[in-house]
Amino acid sequence: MSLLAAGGLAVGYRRGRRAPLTLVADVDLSLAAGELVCLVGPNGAGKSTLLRTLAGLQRPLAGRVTLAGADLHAMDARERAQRLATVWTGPVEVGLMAARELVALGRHPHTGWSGRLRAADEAAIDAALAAVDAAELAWQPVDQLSDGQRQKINIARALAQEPQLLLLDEPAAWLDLARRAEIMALLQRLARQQGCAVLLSSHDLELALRHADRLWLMSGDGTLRAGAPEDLALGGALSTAFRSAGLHYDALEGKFVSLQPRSGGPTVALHGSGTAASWTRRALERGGYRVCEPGCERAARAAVKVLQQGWELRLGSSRRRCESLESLLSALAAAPVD
Amino acid sequence: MIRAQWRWPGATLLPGRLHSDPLQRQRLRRALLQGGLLCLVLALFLLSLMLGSVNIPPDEVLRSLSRAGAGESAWERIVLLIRLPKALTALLAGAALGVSGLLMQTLFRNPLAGPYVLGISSGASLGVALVLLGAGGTLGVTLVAGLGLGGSLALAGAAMTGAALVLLLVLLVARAVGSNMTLLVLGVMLGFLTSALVSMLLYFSVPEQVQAYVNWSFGSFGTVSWRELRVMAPLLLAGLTLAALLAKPLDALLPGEQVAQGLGLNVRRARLQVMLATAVLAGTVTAFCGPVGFLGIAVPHLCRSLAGTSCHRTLLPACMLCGAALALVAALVAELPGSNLVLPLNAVMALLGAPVVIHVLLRRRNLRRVFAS
Repeated sequence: MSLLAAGGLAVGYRRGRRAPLTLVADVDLSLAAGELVCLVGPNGAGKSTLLRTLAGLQRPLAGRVTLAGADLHAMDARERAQRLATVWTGPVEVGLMAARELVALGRHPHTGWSGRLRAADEAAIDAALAAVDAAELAWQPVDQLSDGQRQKINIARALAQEPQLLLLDEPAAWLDLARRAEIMALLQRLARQQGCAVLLSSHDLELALRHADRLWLMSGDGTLRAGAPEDLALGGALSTAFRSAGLHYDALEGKFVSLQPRSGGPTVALHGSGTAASWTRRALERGGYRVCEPGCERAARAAVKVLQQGWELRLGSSRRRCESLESLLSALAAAPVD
Repeated sequence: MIRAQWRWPGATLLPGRLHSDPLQRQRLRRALLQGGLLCLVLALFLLSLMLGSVNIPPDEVLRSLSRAGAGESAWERIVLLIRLPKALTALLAGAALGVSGLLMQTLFRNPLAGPYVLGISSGASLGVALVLLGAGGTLGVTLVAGLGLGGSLALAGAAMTGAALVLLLVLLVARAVGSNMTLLVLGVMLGFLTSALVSMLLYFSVPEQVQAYVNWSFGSFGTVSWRELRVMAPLLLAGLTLAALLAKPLDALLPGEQVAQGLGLNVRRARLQVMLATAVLAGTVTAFCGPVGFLGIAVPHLCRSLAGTSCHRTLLPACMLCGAALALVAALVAELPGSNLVLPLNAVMALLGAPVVIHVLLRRRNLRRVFAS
């Protein structure tokens, strides 16, 4: 049975006397416990608005959202906070506080009027810190943590609410690539181990494709398609959704490339295999060269061979050794045009 | 080497768990801070009963307080009728201003916010100005002549009315406005409006009236007698109680409204409660003591620096105690013990307090950490 279910949902903004602005209409959604779902789509498609609606902060224009069978928007705010936790995008500033005190805020929906923490609350706080691998950060001041550590503490704060559903809006957008990957892996692990449903919006399609159990794809034309990432990629839905954003989904490579027209530049033959060859290909393509497999030397202007240390560049009868890809590119650029 | 191994003697008396577990250590540190501040306030309170134009020895003060003295001596009258109400006023007003400043800084997440950002003191000033300046030459000056007896309750009433009207306006706007920042700007604008009206009144007034108004705006704890205290104390105690009950919602507001909402907090209701508590505290103090400005902004910064935390369970009592201590010191110094001179309270408070706050902030360097933008 699905934990979160929405039927005939329309999401958007009421605008006083004018007709409401509908971003997505007539959508059926479901989300099961233990599942990690990524909400993807081009900017302006309404990802954040949908998340705000599913978080209960905003009423839907039509339809009903239920969380474990109960109407989400009829629920008391405190009761909702016991079942559903949110992490919004951007770094959170809390003033002078130890990481553990920030996580302790997550117990608010469970404590009484004075906010006094019982033994069970302290245990939940420690468990949340341990779940995000941040037990050793507990007594560090929040403002002295790195952005990535701080976001982990934020996620621990949400976990301390002991939610059935965790909603995150761009939880890693301002972090570097390694931290983004770490946060995604962490969320995937939380869904598997803690058994809560995780829904996050993300700009990072490659990470979303790699970690999500399912994608909710908003195309920006008012539709939402749900499915396994691979199905959406193979069926062409991904490339259709992002076409307008100037992106093209390369189904073979499994990655997005920008739709800049490939220059019909000179051809370079590439000899070699493995990681070094793959990065050499990237560098050549970025330099505007057409890379071909060995055997097409006849058409190629030059040939590059990947060595143990460095590269060998063959231009006609001359051979040159290059120590870096940068010097290889500049040597190619300086070569006479035949 | 010996110095390095020195330990606080009390530490050996405590079970080892206390200083190894960081949670216990933190609690101990905060308890020590509150205890220290409490002792300081008690000492200052006693001191302010002893010192003044006449200095009274401590045993005489204690005898007067316990009413053990036979008959009514001059010292007893000074202690019971003048210094005790004044010290109590300073204690309550200081606590009230410290706490209301903290409430506003947390609600607006702004280090420059103070008890008066909602325009409350401007409303009170307008009320007072209308009585002193607008009521026509004779009545106004008569009131001033009777100030301290009949006049001050009337003035307080006018100030309360002005503050309450402004508060009502702000609360009405707050129900309709979603953003705290908009509210902050609106409060400041209301302040400008009312000060403009006061300026107009001042411009068309005779010098005696202007002098009376300026005297009121200097601030003083000395104009409050037992009669006024009977009205002021319950109001301030009610405001302080309400504020003390708000520790949990205030903590939830620290990471911002969106997170607070996600924690299940009814942000609108919490905002109204915080504003109501601030208005009762700041409005009452302004009505009885004049616009005492400095404390409200400075005390929360001082306490955050000393306690090293933004959590309100620690900060609320710390701000009450610290505000009371600062108000008592300022009242003592303004009195210039041993002389018959009395200096304007607001000026003394800022002259004494500002260097202390600057010193603490520069030494700890954590203002930016608290309100990083």
